[in-house]
Amino acid sequence: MGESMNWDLETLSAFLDGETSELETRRVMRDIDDAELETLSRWHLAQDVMHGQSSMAVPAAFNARLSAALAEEGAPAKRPAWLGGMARLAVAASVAAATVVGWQSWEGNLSATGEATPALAAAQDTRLNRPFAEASLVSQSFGSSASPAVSVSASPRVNDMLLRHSDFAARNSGQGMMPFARLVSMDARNGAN
Amino acid sequence: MKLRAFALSLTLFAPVAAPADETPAHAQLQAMSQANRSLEYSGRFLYQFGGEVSTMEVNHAVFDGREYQRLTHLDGRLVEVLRRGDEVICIHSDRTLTRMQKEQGGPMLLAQRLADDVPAQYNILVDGDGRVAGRNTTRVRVAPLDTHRYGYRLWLDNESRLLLKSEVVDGSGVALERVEFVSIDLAPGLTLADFEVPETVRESALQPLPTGHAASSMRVEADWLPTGFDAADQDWRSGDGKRKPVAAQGYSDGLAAFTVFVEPLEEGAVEEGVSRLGPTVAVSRRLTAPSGAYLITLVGEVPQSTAERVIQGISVRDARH
Repeated sequence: MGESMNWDLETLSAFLDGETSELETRRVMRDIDDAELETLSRWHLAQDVMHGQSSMAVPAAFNARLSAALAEEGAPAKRPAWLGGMARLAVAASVAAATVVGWQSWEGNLSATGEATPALAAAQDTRLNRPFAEASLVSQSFGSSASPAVSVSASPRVNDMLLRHSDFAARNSGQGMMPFARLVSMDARNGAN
Repeated sequence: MKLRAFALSLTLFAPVAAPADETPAHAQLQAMSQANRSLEYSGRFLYQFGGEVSTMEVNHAVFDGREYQRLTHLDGRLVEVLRRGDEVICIHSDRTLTRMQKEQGGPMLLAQRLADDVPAQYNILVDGDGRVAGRNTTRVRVAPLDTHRYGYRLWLDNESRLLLKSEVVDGSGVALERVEFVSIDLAPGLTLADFEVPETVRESALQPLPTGHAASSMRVEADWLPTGFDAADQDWRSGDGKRKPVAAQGYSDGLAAFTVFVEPLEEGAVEEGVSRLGPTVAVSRRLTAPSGAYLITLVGEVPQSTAERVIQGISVRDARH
């Protein structure tokens, strides 16, 4: 289990993207050990998630550790090299959600038979929790000063693209009011700079 | 001989049978689209993506054959999208205003899309019923046949056929985004005054680029697109007079859409990476072509894996080189 942290990042990321097989999924659940769980819980990530906090920064120490891990291992095979900085944030956010998976899986294992079934239940939970991971990721990638990978100018640039995409989607996507609702919501969230 | 007779009977019956199979769900959707465009209504709904919830109000009416719609963000910052006939305006929270593209040749309507030309990559069926905003509804499911697009669940009002609830769902059936009315008034007595453009500080239209401008000679080409996606809209406008023009190319499969943006890259910070917000994904990639360096950004409502695959096959041709 010593190598599991580095190994898990890639697999967990794939796992959260729904790209792992059932077998891999079970392995991920099995290979999160006590020490890792403890570390993760010290970050209060799981706690934040439990309380439904939807937007928060991934701790700096975690990013540093993740960067070190990624540098050691090279980029995860499934993620193209060009993804660079923000992809790491994506992985970080995935791991934040994965923390909850580990947590829930553990509780499942303790309370239930300890077989693989709780892991599958936890996998279901992950999907429910995945929007959180996205929210966390987005809070980092849209104009958060916490992340050196994103310059402050990213926000108006991306807003402009969202505006134009919504315009296009409203005319071409056949999704009715949805693109405008999206636009209004994002514009309200991002401000109007 | 028997076999030939059987084959003949198939060719005779197949064309008759097929439309009959498709009718109920398609008719529902067509009625829905018609209702959404032609009825007068006022309602409040929840807009939810990921862990975030917004409350919004929509007012819709038709005056002199022109469609008016006002979408207002009720919590947090005040943002509105106003449609007055073929004119669409976004009013930002700092009271500035962006005029969006005028619709060309009429809107591509959901009814036409779904009833005349159901994207072959989706399966449409009536799925059950339910209650939304205190009204009885019929649920329609639009399921994708591959993993390159999301599916939809739609709840249609039994009486008015209005769309009262809709969800964008991923491959595992989890809703990524939801619009759900909590109340709706089908006789609100709206007038033109309800669709007035408010006083604004500053107005910015999406500016057409002068011909011969660098961006207008650029051509975006995609080596790979998910089945059914076609290039729909080229857009060589600058979002704001102050910023550099960004070229855009839209793609749609009839239901889902994504847009590829191309900006010439100079020295400096490059914002590569991925971000996601509900069903919307934004992926950026640096591209070096013979004509120079570009930053390609894909924004759209498609799975991240699809977006990444598309963007890897994007190339840029510059006619001047």
